[in-house]
Amino acid sequence: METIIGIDLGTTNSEVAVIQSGRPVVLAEDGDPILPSVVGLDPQGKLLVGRAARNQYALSPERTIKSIKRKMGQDVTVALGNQNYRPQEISAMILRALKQRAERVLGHPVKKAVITVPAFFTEGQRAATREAGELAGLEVVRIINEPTAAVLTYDPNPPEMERLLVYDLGGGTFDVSIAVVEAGVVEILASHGDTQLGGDDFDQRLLDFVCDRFQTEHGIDLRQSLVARSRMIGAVEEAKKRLSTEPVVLITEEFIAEKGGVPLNLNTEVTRDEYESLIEPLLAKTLKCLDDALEDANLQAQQIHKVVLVGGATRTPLVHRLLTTRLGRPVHAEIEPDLAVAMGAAVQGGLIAGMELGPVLVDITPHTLGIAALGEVDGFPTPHCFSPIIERNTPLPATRTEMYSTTHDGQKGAEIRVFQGEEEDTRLNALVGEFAIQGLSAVAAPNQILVRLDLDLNGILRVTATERATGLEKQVVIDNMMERFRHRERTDAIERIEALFADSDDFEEEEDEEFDEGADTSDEGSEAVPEGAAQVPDDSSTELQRAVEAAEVQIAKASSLEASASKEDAAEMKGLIQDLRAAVASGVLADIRRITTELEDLIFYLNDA
Amino acid sequence: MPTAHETFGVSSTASEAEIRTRYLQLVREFPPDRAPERFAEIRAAYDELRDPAPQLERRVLSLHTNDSLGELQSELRSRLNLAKLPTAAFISLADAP
Repeated sequence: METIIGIDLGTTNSEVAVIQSGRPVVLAEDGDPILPSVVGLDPQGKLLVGRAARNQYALSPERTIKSIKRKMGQDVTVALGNQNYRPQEISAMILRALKQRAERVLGHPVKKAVITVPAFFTEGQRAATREAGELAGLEVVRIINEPTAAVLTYDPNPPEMERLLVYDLGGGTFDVSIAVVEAGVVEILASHGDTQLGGDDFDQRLLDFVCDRFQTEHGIDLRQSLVARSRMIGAVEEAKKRLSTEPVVLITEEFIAEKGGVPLNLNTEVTRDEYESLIEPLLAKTLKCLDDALEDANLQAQQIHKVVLVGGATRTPLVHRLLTTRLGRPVHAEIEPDLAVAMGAAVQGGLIAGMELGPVLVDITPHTLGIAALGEVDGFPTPHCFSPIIERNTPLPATRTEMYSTTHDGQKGAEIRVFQGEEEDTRLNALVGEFAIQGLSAVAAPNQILVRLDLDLNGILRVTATERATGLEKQVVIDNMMERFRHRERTDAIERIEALFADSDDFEEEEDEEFDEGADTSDEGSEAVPEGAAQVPDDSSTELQRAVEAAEVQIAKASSLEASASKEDAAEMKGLIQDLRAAVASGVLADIRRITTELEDLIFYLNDA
Repeated sequence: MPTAHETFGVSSTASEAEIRTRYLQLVREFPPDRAPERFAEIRAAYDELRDPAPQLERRVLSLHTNDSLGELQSELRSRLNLAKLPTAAFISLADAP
C-alpha cells in the first residue's frame, strides 16, 4: 500500500507522521519529532530549515523567516537574502524538509501527503497551502482541518456518544471546533476561529511590555534595531514558556544597547500576573469564538463531554483557568498538544490509502459561500448584497441551489460573483471567483436564474447558473490552485527551491537523487504549459493575457486527465490542445477564447464520466 | 424521487433515535470521500427527517416540481398528523409567518 504522509504545517513548529502497524507515528530525527517552521540562509547562502534556521534568528534576522503561515494566501513577498519569495515558496521549503525527513526515516520515496490547515482558513489560504505542497514535490491528496485531525486520533468507538470541544491555539492561529464521535463516525458540527491570533501575539504583547519599560528607563527603543529586536523576541519567547510553570521570571540580556558609548544591559522581572493581564484580552476573543461555535452547534456548554486542547499555546495556565470557568468543568490536555494534529493527518492519509483504521469523517465548510445580488444592506439598495447559498457548517460534499432573477426587461446577461464570508456586504467578504452567463432570452424581468454551488471535500467549487425557462446553462469550476497559479511562475518557483536545496548540506545528495522520481513527475505535469506559453507574442494587452492564462489553466487540467481518458477522448483533447496552442501562438483572442471553452467543456464531460 | 424515509429505509413512524442509528450506519457504509454522491443524498434525507420545513421550501423553488403550495401544505399537514416530527421542526413551524 502506498504511503501517504500526514503533515502539520504549523506557524511555529511542523511535524510529519505516518501510519506504522496501524497506528500514527510522528517521525523524529535525532530524537526530535519537531521541525521549527523557520527558514534561513547561512552566511554562505546555504539554505537552513528548522532548528538551525531558528538558532540563527537572533543574530541574522535579515536572513531568517519565521511565522510564514500568517501570510499564507496574501499577495505579498518576503525577502530572504537578496531574493523575494511568496509565502507559498517559503512554506514549500519547510514541506520539502519534512518530505525529506520522512524519506530518510522510512527509507523509501514519499510522493503523497495530507496537509492540515486551521479550520477557519479561507479557500484562498487553503489554495496557497496546496500550492506550497506541489512546489515541494508533493501531491496533496487532501487538505484537512487541524482540529478535525486532532479528533481523528481519538477512539472512534466510545461506549456512548461523545461530544468533544477542540480548542486549538497554535503559534499564529486559533480554532475551536465541536465534534460528535459515535459508532465509528466523527462528525464536525461547527467551527469558528481567528486565523491571525496565536502564541506569536502573546510574544508581541510581552515584547512591547518589556521594551516599553526599558525605553522609560533608558530612553532607547529596542524595537528599532533589528538585532536587538530579534534578541528580545528570543528572550520573551523563553520567558513566556517559563511563566507557564514559574510565578516570576527574570529576563536578562547583556549589552542589548549602547548609550553614550556605555553598554546597557536588560535586567527586568515579569510576574505571571503581569503577563496574564497582557494576554487576557486576546484570550477573551477565543472565548467569543467558543460561544459562537456552541451556538452554531445548538449546544450548551454542559452538553460537552470532553475538552481537547491542541497547540503549544494551550499550555498557558490562564487558558486552562478561563476554559474551566467558561465550561464549568476541568479541562485536560488528553492528547499530546504538539503532535496530535500530525498524527490525525496521518490517520486521514491512511484512510485515503484504503487502510481500515476505523473512523469515518464528516467535516464541514466553516465559511458561508454565496453570490452578490441586488438587495438592501442597512436599508439601502445596493448591488453588493451577499446572498448565501451554502451556509457555514454544512457537511461536505455540499450542493445547494438558490433562485435569482433579472432586474430589467430584455436583460441579456448576468454577472455571477461568488464570495465567501459572513458579512451582508460582499465588499467585506472574500471574492472566490466570478463569471458571466450570456445569451439570456429577451423577456421581461423577472427572468429566473438558478445558481447552484457544489463544494467537494477538496474545497473545489463548481458554480452553475441556469436560465430556468430555457435550461441555458453556464458552469465554471473554481479551483484556486490552478487559477491563481500562473504556470510559468510555478516552474520558476520549483526551480528556485530545487536550487536552494541542491546547495544545502542539510540533506544527503545521494538519497536525493534516488528519491527524485517524485519531483520529476510534478515537473512533467507542468511541462506541457510553458511550452505553449513560450510562444505567446510579446504584445500583451491585458485581455489577451487573461485569455492566454485561462487557456494555460485548461491545458494543464487537460494534460492531467489525458492518462485516465478513453482513447477517443484523449485524441479529441490532444487535438484541441494543439489548436489552442496554435491560437495562443497567433494571438487571436476570439480563437483562444472559443477553443478554451471547447476544451473546458470536454474536461467537465470527462470529470463527470 | 424517493422520500427521505425511503432513502433511509425506515418507516414513517421511526423515532429520532432510530433515524440517528440508521444515519450512522449509512455514513459508515457510504463515507463522504468514497461515495460523495450517495453521502450527499443520505445527508439531505437526514436533514429532512430532522427538520422537513426547509426541504419543502426548497421543493417550491426546485426546477423539476409542479407541486402547488396547496399540495405542499396538505402534505405538511398529513405529516403533522403523524406527530412524529422532531421537536425542533415544530418550533420552527410555529415561527413561520
